Parts: sequence; C-alpha cells; structure tokens
Amino acid sequence: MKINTSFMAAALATVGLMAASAASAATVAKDNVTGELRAPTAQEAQVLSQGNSGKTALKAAPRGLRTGTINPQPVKHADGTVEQELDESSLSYSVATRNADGSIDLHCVTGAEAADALVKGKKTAAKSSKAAAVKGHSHDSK
Amino acid sequence: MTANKKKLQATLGATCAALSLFGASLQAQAAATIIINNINAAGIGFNDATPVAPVGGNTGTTLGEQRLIAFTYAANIWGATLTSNQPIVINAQFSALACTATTATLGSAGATSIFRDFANAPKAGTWYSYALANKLAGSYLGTANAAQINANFNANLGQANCLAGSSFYLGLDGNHGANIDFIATLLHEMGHGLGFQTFTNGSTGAQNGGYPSVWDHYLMGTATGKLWKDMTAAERQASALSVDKLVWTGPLVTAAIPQVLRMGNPGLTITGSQAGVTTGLHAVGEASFGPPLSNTSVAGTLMPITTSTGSLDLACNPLSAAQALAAKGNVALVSRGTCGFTIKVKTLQDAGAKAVLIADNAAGAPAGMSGTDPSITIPSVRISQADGVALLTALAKRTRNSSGVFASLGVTGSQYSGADPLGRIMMFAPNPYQSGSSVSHFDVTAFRNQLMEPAINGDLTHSVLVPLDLTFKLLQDIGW
Repeated sequence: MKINTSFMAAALATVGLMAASAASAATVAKDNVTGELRAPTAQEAQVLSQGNSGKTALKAAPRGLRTGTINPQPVKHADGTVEQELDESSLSYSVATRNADGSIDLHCVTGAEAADALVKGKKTAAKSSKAAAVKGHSHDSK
Repeated sequence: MTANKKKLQATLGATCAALSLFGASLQAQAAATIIINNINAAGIGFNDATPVAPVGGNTGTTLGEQRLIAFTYAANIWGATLTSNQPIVINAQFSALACTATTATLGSAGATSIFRDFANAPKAGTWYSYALANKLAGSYLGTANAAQINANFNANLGQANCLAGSSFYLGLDGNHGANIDFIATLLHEMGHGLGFQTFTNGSTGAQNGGYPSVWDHYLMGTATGKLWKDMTAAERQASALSVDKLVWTGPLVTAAIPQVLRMGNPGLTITGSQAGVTTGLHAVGEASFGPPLSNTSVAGTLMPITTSTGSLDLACNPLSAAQALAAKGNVALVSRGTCGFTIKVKTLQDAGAKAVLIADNAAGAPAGMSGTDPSITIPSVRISQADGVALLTALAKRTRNSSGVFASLGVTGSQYSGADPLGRIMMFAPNPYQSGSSVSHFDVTAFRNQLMEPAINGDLTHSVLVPLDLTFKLLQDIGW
C-alpha cells in the first residue's frame, strides 16, 4: 500500500505540497497545540478525503487566519459579541505581471484563488472599458 | 495633516533607532499604536542578513533590516493617521509565494477576524473588521494578544523565475523607477486589513452569515437606488456588474471629492487658420508621467517633428537642428513607436517644447501612456493614428517654426473624474465580474489616481489623506 503522510493543523501549510491519493493514503495529523502526531479528527479526515488528492482537498478547505482552524465558524463570546474568524478567501493579494513591452501591472485581488489565477495567467476580466481612454491605465509604455 | 507628519517623522526616528531583527516586535506609535510582530525565523525574510546599500532614505544595512524599516515606515503612516486606544497588531513575514518568470504574488494582507454586535457597535447586526471593532468597542475583543492583521510578502521577488529582474523598492522616497514600490503596495494591502472591503460575496451577493458588512451600509447601486445592505442577493450580484452605477455614499468621501478628484475630462482642442477639418475637440490618452492635464490649458503652436522624408519622427534619438527649432516653444507632434513614451517626451522637453502629442501607430481610440520619469515637467498625450495623419496634412504649409495650427491641452466639463453625475465616487464594478477586485476598490476612472484602486499605479504618493487621497475619508465613513 502506498503510504503518504500529511501533517495538518499547525502544519497545514505544508500539506498542500504533498500529493496523496486520498483513497490509499494513511494520514496523520500534527496537533496544533501539542505538536504531537495523532490520528486526524473526523473533520480533518473529511478534508483529506475530498477530491482526488490531499493537495486538492486541502486547497479547497478554508483555514482560519488566526488559529488555522479548518472552516472556522462564528463564535459567540460571553458578552454577546460574535466573532467570525476569516480565511484566505478574504485576504487581499498584490500580484505583479510583466507585459510584453517590459512594463509591469500591479493588481490587487481578494482571495488566494484569484491571486493564483493571475499568477497562472488566467486573468479573465479586462479593465473597466471607460477607463483606458481617459487616464494612464494603458499597459503601453512605448 | 501637518501635525500628523511631524508626529510621523518623530516616531520614525525613534522606531528606526530601536530596530532589532530576529524576533523583533516593533511599535509604530502615533495616534494609533501599530505593533509589528516579526514572525520570520532567523536568517529569513525580515532577518535576512544579506548586506545591502542604503536606498532612498532607508538606512538598513541588511536586506532584512531594510524590509523591516520599510514595513515600519508604512505602518507608521497608518498609525499617524488612525486613532484608536487599542493597539493594532500585525503578524508580518516574508516567505516564498507563488511565482513565475513573468508574474508573482507580491504579498497578501487582511484582517484575521470580523466582529458584530460588540459593545458600542454603531450599527447592530453588522460586521466590522477586527481592528476597527476594537477601536469602536474601546476594548480588545476576542482572544487576548491576537493579531488583527496578517501580512505576508514574497521573499523571492526578483530572483530567477520570480519576476526576474524586478524587485521590491525598499526606499522610503517613492523613487521606485522600474521596480515595485513596497511602501505603496503595503499601504494598499494594509488598507484592506483595516476595513477597506466588504465581507459580502460580490460574485454571489451572499452576505457573510446572513449579516451585512459596515461597507454595505454606504455602497449604493444607482440603478435601483438601494444600499447593498437593503438589496436581495440577486440585486447585489447585478449591482456588482453595473460598471458606472455602483457608488459610495459615505458623507466624508463625498464632501472631499472636489479637493481630490479632477473636474472635467481631458481633451485636445485644435484651432487656427490652417487647422481645416482638424478644428475642434479630440480625444486623448493621458500619460502617467509629467503633469496631469487640468482646467488651466497648456496651448501653443503645433509643429510636427518630421524625418527627412516628411513623415512624423519617433523622437527616440537626439533631434537635428531643424527638428529642435520646430520643437522650441511649441507643441510638438511625433509618432509612437520604437522607444518608450517617456524617452520621446524627455527628448522634446530638452529641446524646449511646451507639450507633446504622440500620434498612435495603430488604429483605434487613444489609450493612456505608461512610464515613469520624474524629470518630465511638460504635459503629453497620445492621440489617435487618424488624428495624427489629419494633423500632419493640416500642417503641410508651415514654416520652420510656425504653422497656423494651434493645440490646447486641458480638461472640460463639470463631472469629477471617477465620480458619478451626482458627485459620488464610483466603486469598481466591471462586467464581467473581476474575481477579487470588484466592489472593494475605487473605480479605475478616478483621477488623480487613488491608493485603493485595483491597479496599484506607479504615480501614487504615500499619502492616504486629502487632498491627495480619499482612502482615510472612506475609513472614517465606516467608523475609523
């Protein structure tokens, strides 16, 4: 049996680098608090079982920016305040793209997925059509 | 503003003197205290010991030190602007991020949590970003010592296969040249982290957990006349695609627009006894370098700079004596191509031209002209290829430095650039939806360019304040 080991929780950032067949993978999680290796929780196991690989599954799982919790849910504090921990889908990313003429465009997008799409050249939308003719937003530098 | 600047300078002096590297927590203290937690390990990111030369007022002697000084400088700008009796903690690091040879993720930043229905919340059932919620509550919400903002920037930028040859400019003076101004980039991303964004999904219209963001209380779709908080999800979804019908209604931004945005649209007006069919107003593409067009027109005799065969010259090389005579004291007409726009304009400026028209070498409406050269002091525009041909024809009966055709560059009309007819700034709402950029930025038509447009323009200053920028006014509208 092919054995793949994935580290979750505190080590979640490294998990996405591991190509694992979820169907045949033996998984272990690194506890976020103790740092010890342990069996994954049901939630963590569910994440790993999604998709065709650990990489795909973990990429799809939102992780809290503060605690690393998978799919963070709203928390009601004692004073009635409600907190929603955010995940990477709400982060703002700056992405630079070099054009054919050597000039560089800088774009701000929200979410890792949108940033990855830009880096991989999957930019889909043009600039606002009314913009180009009235101010220096053209890509042309010569 | 003056007081803030003085405070900022004083703070910077103290902060930079106190710099330490590995594991440092830096405090950018002013009207709001910003604590920067350097979470890089030894030898990495902020702790990179690679020796570097001082640049643009950044006195750091290692790469890590310069990164930390620049980061602190940007944090200080916000710290001097915001007011809060609660510290704003930023977990900051440099790490390896996605790259190719021609693209790179420069960095990311954002709030770690959002809160609603906290003590003193101005609006019930409404999400606020963490740092703003703390300010409004007057207490530290959530988990003790939790960071309000995460920030992570690319440690490999400029290396092979990571936008090779283009790196972060770590100087503090904005003279980034062809590199990427780290300060401007960071100011922009920190702006989002402080609350310059909605937490409602613009693509689907779905609110976060069924509650609106404070942003949605001020965002209006003019097609329906409804605020986003009052729309259905379907209405929000349509509003996000409405191009010029999504506006910000916050009173502080609206009141400041006349001080920041330019009134009128740019154009070229041709007159004169020899102007013929070219007489009248012509569309132009503006330059990102040199002085912007204004309602004080720059006008003069239009003279073509031609080659020995009579066609428009490219102005990529030093001018001949005859060409220089034609340019001197006049508005010069040259052709696009071969070299950068800035090279052409600088060449003609050096010859004494008072303005430059660059005729396109391809058909279509004239787009803007990119480039950076702070030494350029005369205005320049791109005109269409067709206009260039017509003007050259009209200029056929000229002498060596007179033509009977006059060109005037300026702006006309009463609508502010980037605002709707009622004077409210437009928010970015392209169709199709631009994932990640739509809704939570100012529209790209704003002029002067604004820090919080989706494209980070090369001519940005490091100000977030009126009369240069509307970002802080918007943050004040939502509660800062």
